[in-house]
Amino acid sequence: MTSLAGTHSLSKYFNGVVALGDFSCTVAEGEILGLLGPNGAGKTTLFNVLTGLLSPDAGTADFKGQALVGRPVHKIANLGIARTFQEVRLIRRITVLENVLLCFKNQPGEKLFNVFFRPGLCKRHEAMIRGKAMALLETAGLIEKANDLADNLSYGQQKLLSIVCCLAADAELLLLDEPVAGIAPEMAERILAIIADLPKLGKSAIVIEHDMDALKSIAHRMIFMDAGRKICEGTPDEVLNDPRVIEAYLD
Amino acid sequence: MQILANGLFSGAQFACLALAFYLINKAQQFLDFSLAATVTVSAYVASAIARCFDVPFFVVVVLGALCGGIVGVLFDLCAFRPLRKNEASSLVKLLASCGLMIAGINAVSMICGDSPQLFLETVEIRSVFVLASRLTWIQIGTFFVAFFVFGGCWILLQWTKWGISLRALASDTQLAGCVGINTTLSISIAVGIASCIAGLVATLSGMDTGIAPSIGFKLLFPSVVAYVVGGMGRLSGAFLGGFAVGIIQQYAGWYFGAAWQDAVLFFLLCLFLFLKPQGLFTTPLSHADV
Amino acid sequence: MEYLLHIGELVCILAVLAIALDIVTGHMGFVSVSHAAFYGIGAYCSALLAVLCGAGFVVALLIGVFLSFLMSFFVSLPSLRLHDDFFVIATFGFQMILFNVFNNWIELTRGPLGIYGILPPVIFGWHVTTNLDFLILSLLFVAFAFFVVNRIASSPFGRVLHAIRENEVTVGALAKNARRYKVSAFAVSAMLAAMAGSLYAHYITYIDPTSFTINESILVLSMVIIGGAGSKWGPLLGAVVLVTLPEALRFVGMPSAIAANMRQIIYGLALVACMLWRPQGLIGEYTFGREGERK
Repeated sequence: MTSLAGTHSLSKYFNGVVALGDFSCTVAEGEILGLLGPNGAGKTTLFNVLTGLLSPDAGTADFKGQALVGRPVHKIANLGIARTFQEVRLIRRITVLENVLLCFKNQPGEKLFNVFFRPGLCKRHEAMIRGKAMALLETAGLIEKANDLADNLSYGQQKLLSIVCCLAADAELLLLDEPVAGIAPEMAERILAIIADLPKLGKSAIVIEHDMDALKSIAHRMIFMDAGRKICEGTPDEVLNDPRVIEAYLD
Repeated sequence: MQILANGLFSGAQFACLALAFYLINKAQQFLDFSLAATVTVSAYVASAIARCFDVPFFVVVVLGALCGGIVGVLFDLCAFRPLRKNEASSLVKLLASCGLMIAGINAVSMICGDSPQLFLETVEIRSVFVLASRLTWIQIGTFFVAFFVFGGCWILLQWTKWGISLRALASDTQLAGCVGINTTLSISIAVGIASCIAGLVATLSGMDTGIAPSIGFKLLFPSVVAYVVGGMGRLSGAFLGGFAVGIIQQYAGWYFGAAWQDAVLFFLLCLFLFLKPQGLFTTPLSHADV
Repeated sequence: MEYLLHIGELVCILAVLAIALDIVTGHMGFVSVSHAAFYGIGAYCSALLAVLCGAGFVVALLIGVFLSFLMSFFVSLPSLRLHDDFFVIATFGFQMILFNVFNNWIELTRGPLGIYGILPPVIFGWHVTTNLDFLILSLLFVAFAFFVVNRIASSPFGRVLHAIRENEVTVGALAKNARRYKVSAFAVSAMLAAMAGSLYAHYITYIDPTSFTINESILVLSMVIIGGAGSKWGPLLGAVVLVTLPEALRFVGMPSAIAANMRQIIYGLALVACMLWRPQGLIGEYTFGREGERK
């Protein structure tokens, strides 16, 4: 499998606290990488650096051969990376469908010139993405809620919606931050099933989770982090049985 | 040198008003445009008092400040308190304050006419030649009053129970309420003090350069720029910002002509926002709270 | 009858302005008090070109619109990264500067004396001279502005604007350069405002700086908000209500000297009342609350 994205000696400090310390990892195409570690280990910080919300103090990160550090947030998103947040970030006062529609890239209707001078093109494209959006919502089981405000969804449904949005963005790498934390088991299963299917669609994912069983069921490889550093890496079995990991969780 | 002196004087006015903005922003989390109306009304009332009653200047100034306080609290009771109850967003409060500004200033305009007037016809304002510039007593007085006001605010904020309450509710109003701080009272006090400052500045300014309905606008924009440029998190920032703006405005008037003073302030504002937004905002727009 | 036509005229001109402002304030959620400035740019441009160069209505209009388009970047580029209150301050500043320009650049604008003698427009042979003619022309302008803004609002571009209005931070994460949308929307808004200005200049045939002050900016803002920001018919309704209601003052016998001030007071109080009891306006839905509001 070829490498899709990677970081090399990434470091980030906040007032002397090591959020990321010399962190290197890679993600291959069609691979799901699980990221494990106690709170404050730097997992979300890694996501923030990868998506451009934070700039690292040292090290590099790349995606499909392009450097990520120093690029603005929306440009990184355009390269093909999408992410979800721990506290769900949707646009709550618009409908579920509109949230999904927003995520499609390169819509001609988003350029004013096209809106006025190429209405046919805009209409056709709009019809096409609507179809795709409805299909995605159907697969996720959210189709009845399509015209409800995103605010009216349950927490679990909102988490599901944010993953649907990532799919709509047609990202090749999804960064999922605790996608099933705090949700009822049936919903969690639905979400995990969607994540597990990502490699079939040619996509990769880095998944942060605390639920080890959940992570074990979907990840191809895992990395255990603590205090900003990589402690160990390998298959789920290897990592979960590693004495350092067990010790860290029992501490 | 004269320019610098003028700048310090007008800067003193802006500095005080910037403090008023600071207090209200801390208390209510929005920029209160209705202070312009407070200023205008106070200036005219103070002038009326001076004309009708034979009282020493000092008393007129105090009454002007009081008038400001009354107007401000009235605005608060009628408009901002109900809005706070409805948990209105800062934008809604801002719009309401714009409405009050327009209504207030036009009310004055309607009653007293649009043309500029002298504060008090019969008094001749004596000027003094000091530090190589010609200054009136009022201008010198305003400068020192400004420091007095700043000192007073600083002491109040640092040392009194009210000051601590205000700082608490500035960072989290709901939480402050939960720990037993009487937010309504604290906010009202803040509004009262800020409006008194506005009234004070209005009276002093009116005494010096006369009154006109536009006095509100003339003092509002530079003061807001001062507040923003000086750094909104700190009392001293707002205060120093006022002086900086005053000086810059005077020099701008000298080099480019009086008509372009506002333009220079606008560019100053934009310059700061471009170059130093971190010092001026809670979070820059492009970086989410992650 | 002439009186009614005159009122209709004013309603139309201000409706165009209100619809223009609605893009930025209603659909994008950024309150602007600078639109009287763009209105003035259109008016002065038209007036000067007509009086000094004898330019035709259409040409003068287009040049005014273009100038407004350029000037919009002075406001939008530095200021659109600002939130709420600060954006308002920036637009306030721009408005005061433009007023100063209109009032003090005497060589160009004749300052407080104003420009008079603007001839009625002639559009491809149609002499717009009577009030009725003007009303028809104005209605066409309103229809145009209405069409433009609603087209934008219902397009994917509009969808992004609404997202920016509700939660701008998240929009960046969606591979959309929020800035581009904001600057474009503001530019369109400024251009439409200039169109209204052009129309105004040719209708009244005399303009002076007092028509383009912060009072007018807040008036238009009130129309948008009281009508219903971000709604299809809201700005139009706001224009109708806020122009016709104070006219009732005339019939109550108020002396005209204070009528102007009285109207402003009504506008101001109406805005406050609206914020207190119905922030979404008469027929709107957007209440200017924000998600993820900063403390």
